[in-house]
Amino acid sequence: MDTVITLTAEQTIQQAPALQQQLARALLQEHAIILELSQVTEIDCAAVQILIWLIRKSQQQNLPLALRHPSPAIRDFVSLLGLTELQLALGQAHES
Amino acid sequence: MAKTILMVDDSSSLRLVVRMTLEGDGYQVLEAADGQQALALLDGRKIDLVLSDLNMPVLDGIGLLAHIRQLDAYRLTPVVMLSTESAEHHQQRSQPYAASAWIVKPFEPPHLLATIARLTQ
Amino acid sequence: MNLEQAMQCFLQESAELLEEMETILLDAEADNITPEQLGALFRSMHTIKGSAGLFGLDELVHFTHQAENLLDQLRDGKLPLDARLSGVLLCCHDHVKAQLAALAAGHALPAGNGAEILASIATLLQHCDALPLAADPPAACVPQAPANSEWLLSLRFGPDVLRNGMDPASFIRYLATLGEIQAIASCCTLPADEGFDPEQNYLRLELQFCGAVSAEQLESVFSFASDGGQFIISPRAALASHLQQALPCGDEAEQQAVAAIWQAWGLSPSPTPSMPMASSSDRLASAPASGSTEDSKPAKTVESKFIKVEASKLDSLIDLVGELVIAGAASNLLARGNGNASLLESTAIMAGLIEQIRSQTLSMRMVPIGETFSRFPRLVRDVGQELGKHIKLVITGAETELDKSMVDKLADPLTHLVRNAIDHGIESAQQRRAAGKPDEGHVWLNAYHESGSVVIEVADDGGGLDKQRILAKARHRGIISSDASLSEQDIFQLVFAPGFSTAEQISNLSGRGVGLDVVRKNIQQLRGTVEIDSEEGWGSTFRLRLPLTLAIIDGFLVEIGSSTFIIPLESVVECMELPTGLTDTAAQHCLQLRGEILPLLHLRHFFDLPGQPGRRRNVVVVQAGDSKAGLVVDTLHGEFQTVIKPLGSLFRHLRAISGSTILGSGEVALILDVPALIQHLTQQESEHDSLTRTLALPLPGTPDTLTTSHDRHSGETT
Repeated sequence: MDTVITLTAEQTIQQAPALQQQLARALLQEHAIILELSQVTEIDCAAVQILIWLIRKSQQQNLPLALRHPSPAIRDFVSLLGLTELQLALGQAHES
Repeated sequence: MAKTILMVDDSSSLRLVVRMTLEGDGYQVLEAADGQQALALLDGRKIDLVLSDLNMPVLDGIGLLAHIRQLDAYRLTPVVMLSTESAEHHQQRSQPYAASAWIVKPFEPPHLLATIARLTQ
Repeated sequence: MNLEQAMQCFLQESAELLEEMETILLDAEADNITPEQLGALFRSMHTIKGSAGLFGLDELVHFTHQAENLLDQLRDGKLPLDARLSGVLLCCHDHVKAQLAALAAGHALPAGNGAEILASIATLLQHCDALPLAADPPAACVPQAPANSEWLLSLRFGPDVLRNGMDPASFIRYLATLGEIQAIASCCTLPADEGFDPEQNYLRLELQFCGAVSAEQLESVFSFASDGGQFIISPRAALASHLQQALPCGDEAEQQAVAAIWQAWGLSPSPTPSMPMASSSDRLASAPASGSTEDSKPAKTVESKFIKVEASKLDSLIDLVGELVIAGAASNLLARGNGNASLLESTAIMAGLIEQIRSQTLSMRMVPIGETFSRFPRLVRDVGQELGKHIKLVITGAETELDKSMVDKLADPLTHLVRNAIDHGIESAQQRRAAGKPDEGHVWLNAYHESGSVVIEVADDGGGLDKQRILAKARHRGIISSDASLSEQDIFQLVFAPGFSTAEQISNLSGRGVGLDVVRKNIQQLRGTVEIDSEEGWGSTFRLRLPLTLAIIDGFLVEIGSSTFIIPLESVVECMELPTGLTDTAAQHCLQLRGEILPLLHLRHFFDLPGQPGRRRNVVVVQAGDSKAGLVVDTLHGEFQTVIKPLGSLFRHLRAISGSTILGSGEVALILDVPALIQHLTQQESEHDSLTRTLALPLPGTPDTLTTSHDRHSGETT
């Protein structure tokens, strides 16, 4: 069964430790992970790093990962900082 | 318990007026004449909000803001910048450090009180 | 809210700011102005503007806003601080000061020449718009950013930047407001093992940026994030150097990722080895942005070490201490009369403590004379300009302390002496050149402590006093008799005679109806003296000698008949018994003392006291300036510390009495004004004739006429 995780509106350094723990637990379950991103209205570098960490971990573990419905806030942020790696992952997510 | 506000401004008359305004509404007010004095006062105290002028000697408002944001205890403390109308450039310069609000001098006491009440809830 | 209190605070603060502004402006004319001074200048108008807004002083806000604009341009180096600008700024200062003075006095704000000044400001501002950066001093070889220059940035934020509450994205957003981010790419170097810390920063950003900014501006963007970070910023032209620095940073993974980014942008390190770089770009490429947080001083406790106390509170404390001194003296007298040893001991201990309290309290009122001196640079500048003389003012000893009440009263006499030095002392440039002196005249203000007094000197390197001319004028005016022979010092002292002026031409400044006599009177009221040193052709020095404080004096108690007098101890040289059997008139009026002739003044006669002189009498030798005299009294009672009470207005006119005090016994004693007594003797000598008429105290307004009066003095002495 896929693990679906919905991120809340605010994803900044304040939520970062909890989010990372939640995602680390999900990775342990060895199920496909679906991240629902549509509700995110605020994001910062701390949160973005966790997404990149998640992408790389899931690749290492050969777990399918889907980043679904990235909100405009996320898209803007990713292009502002030129986060190519994340951009590609989001692009795929969008297409899938 | 009364909320404690740290008022930072090199003008003693402005500090006095702000102090009278805030104390009238039940706040406790600490005063500092520049950023460095303010940092010294922050140390080891519980301060609920910092109200700071922009242009000060020794350490200016934005420098103070940047320092405050690096203090574990004050990373999330609201900081309100008091500025004159020509401060657009500074607003941009301080952007990375997230000032909580900007108030333009001369301030209206009700506006100042409302802003502070909102941020210290 | 107490608006009155806030307004007082505003006025006080503004006065301080204006004073600082003036000091800097006058200082900076001669020297290079520092960035701190520029900042302080700007803040002076800025802060007054901000506070004036609180009180709804719209006109003042408008005016100070324009002045602030001007200072802003000055601070940014767009205007040079030349004579014109500093002149306009001084006018701004004066205007604001006048407005605030009117406000303090409760008058309507005067329009003054505010409109004119605003027009000058507008002209200066236009000028600087027309010539952007043209006025930059050549020394500031800041690499100027041509419009839209291109930059390369490698931003390695420190690992703690997120924890410190800063988001690298915010810096990028801000950067975007300064120009155009042409390309940006991030790389994220995560730890290979499980050591990922969600609050640590692993991001690094590479940018190509285009904007009308300088390297310094770019560096300052990141100055607050420089903790543990490394920000490499180079002009586009310095690509090779930039990559040489940027690519080797970090571990292998980071190096590869960054190299890939620059390769993808088609910007690879050129195959040629290091390009020769201009030194300026080396500086540009400096790694951490300047002004890092480490540079700033560690925040230390700087809570104020001063308390502002209302002056009147201090005055009443000093009054009380004065009473305590008297009460202490009284109990000491009682103890002595009583002969109780342990009581004597305890009053002695108390006296010691009172003495300590006294000196501590008085020291609280001591302020540096620099406060008074600070007005003179402006005065010298203005007076010099008015008279077309180029004057340099040299101030030394500004830190010398004296009683606050004295400082206030010194301002006028010092102003007069300084004006006098510039007006009459310093010659015109032509005269100076002819005398082989530099065109620029010098005026010195010097203060120092000397054996319990404060000495203040006003000196100039002008023409000096012309003794012949002084004598001629004094004779002409009837101040001295035509055959009087006077010592050099006596001649100099003539310039203090009422209505004396030595300048051939009465200039605009001196024609104010106030002569140097007023200066001497003022100084004497402060229990001080004025001496003059002068060498013809080389300049003059007016030397004021003043007591440290006015409130308390150490006195010497003497008795004549049933009246008690106090002679200030500082003027007492020695005491001796009056040789008996002096019968002839000449011996009554002077005494041979170690080969010197000492004029005698019989106080019993002088004050016309009742009773016959006793058989044994004493002489107290006193000195004021260089003159000595012997005061003949009945009994000596020794030293006595006392508080001076000013004389009531009824007795103000009494010459030779400077105040009164209450003795431990409750009796009133008059304090003798020694300089006035000696002056009286000197005058008497020079007049030769009036030996028999030295009886009493002249009426006010007739200082040179000796009249006999029986009912004008004593009363108080009993």
